Amino acid sequence: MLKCKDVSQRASEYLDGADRPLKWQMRLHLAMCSNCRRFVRHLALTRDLASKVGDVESCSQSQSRKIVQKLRNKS
Amino acid sequence: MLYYALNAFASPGLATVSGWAATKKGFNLSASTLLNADEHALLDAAIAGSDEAYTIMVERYHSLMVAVAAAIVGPSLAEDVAQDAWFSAHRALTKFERRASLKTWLLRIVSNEAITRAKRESRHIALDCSPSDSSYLDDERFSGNGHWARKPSQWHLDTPDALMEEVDLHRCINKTLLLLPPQQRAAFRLRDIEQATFEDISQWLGVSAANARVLVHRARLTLLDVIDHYQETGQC
Repeated sequence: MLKCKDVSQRASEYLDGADRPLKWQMRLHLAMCSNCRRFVRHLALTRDLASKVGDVESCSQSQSRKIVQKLRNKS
Repeated sequence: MLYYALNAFASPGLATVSGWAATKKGFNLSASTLLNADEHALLDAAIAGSDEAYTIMVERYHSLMVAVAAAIVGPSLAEDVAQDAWFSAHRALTKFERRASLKTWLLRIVSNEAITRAKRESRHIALDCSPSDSSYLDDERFSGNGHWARKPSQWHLDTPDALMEEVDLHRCINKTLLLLPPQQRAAFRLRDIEQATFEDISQWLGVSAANARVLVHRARLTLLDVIDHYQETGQC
């Protein structure tokens, strides 16, 4: 039987598609524990929000041109 | 038509030339045409010597390659390693069989470059699975029997739509992403933004799939902590 601490540590594994035994253990625990349900829901919201608004640094066109120029000079 | 024109320039005889000059003659496609071209057309144009095609490829993938390099060799050498990887990719472009996507191929190249550089420089970046500055699951969260001692707080913004409207929160998230340890940052980006599999992430970062999962989880916990704090205070 998983404890809340175990659920908190394996919640991402569950969200990302865990193997069947873990999935059922998690489901059983979540059916009984509202705190863990809230935690897993918050973690899923976090993942979904960050994946949408995460403004990953991109390489600007001028930077890209410089790199291509270096490549050209080197080859 | 465009595709055949590109293929004509990518014929084996020309394609084996590694430099630009021999293949560039007569080749002139606009940036806008290439921007909308599919990956194969972009690759064909790059092989045929189009600077624009290379620029578009660098714009698309360079920062991701730097992130992967930083996770393996550290941030100070990452840019250098990524540029070396472009050079290797350029030399091998005609041999790329296109069974994998261009992104997958480039990430494999930069990963190999970074691992080689790490060995050469005797740099070993220890796997950082620590929660870093995340305090969400600190020791006081749980009691001795493994139950919540400090329960997860209720969020007043608890739907995707409500969270999407909080521009200040988005700034907090982006600021936090920049502060994550390089391995967690790369793992998070590859998994949650690029939607890569853990198998691929583990290969690119040179860690086990289990450790790749831990890195992603740690990154998410740090971000969760930021959102939790924002819900309470309205600040980062």
